[in-house]
Amino acid sequence: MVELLEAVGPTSLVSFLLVLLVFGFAPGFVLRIVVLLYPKGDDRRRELVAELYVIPRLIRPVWVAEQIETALFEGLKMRIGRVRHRFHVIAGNYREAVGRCEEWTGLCFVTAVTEEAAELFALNGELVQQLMSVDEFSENFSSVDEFLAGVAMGDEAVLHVLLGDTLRNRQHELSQVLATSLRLMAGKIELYDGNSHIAAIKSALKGARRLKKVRYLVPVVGILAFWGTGGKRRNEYVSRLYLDANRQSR
Amino acid sequence: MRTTHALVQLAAALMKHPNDRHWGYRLSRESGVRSGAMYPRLSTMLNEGWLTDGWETTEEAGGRPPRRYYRLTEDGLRELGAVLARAEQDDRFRNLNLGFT
Repeated sequence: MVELLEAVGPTSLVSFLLVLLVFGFAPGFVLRIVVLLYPKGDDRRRELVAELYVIPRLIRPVWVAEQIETALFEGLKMRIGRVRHRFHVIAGNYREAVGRCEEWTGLCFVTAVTEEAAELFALNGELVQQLMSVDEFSENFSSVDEFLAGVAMGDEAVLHVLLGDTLRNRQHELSQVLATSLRLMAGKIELYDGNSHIAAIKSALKGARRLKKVRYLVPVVGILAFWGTGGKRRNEYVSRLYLDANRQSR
Repeated sequence: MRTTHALVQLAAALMKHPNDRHWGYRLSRESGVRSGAMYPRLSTMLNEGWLTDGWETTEEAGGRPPRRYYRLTEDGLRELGAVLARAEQDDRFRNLNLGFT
């Protein structure tokens, strides 16, 4: 008996633990991490984990390794596809929105500060056509002042300004700009706080729909981002806006 | 969908039991297609309407997580039948043991 215990001594214990790890714990653990590559809510996540338990223990490690390939090429591709789709929706609709708004009011800008905000617009359907990404905004304007100077010249524009988190620290500067712009604007400005931006967008959307119902003004939902970037393209764009606005006012 | 070895092998495995439910791992073994190639094709077939999917009940699962199954639709039977018929004429698939006469 003693000989037997000595035979299955420390070396065998290590082997035993190693076998437990490789064939018992590791496959399930690794697979649960691997399936996270699939987008949230994708059925493949549940499916692969469920399949693991009908696979013989001996081949589980190899099967799990195969799933890394599957998840990389299928799951990651799905994720990238979704992000690209979202980007295209925003960029594509922005172009359409500018066309429509210019036709109706002369000038119109809609920006989105956060991804959630953009998604919320998308969910609400109608106003998905009036989005401008933060990047596009910062490419075209170096400041809120520039942005509002353009908008202020549009007749009867209704501007819902949503303060994103990026603007929270610059409220003083912004309020000065708004004070000047308010005098110029024929419409009105609604200012929302960045902390409650989702609620604010919902409220803006409700207001926008109400306005649309009574055929009042074209609702313009704006979320201003102030990144202070410069560039030739921005200046050209702003110049074009002023030209357009002047042409309209004549 | 392009007629590839993986598709032909999957079609053959699915058509062996056209009215049964098919499970991922078993299908992979029966068809000889590794899961990295099989799952994307199953997704495409689902999107094309060739397959429907579902989950086994908790009673059937008996303690382990319920598995997802796939079942051939009428469209799937027709399309995969056509895939096999084309494969039969194609020299590329001569080496596959698909049960052709």
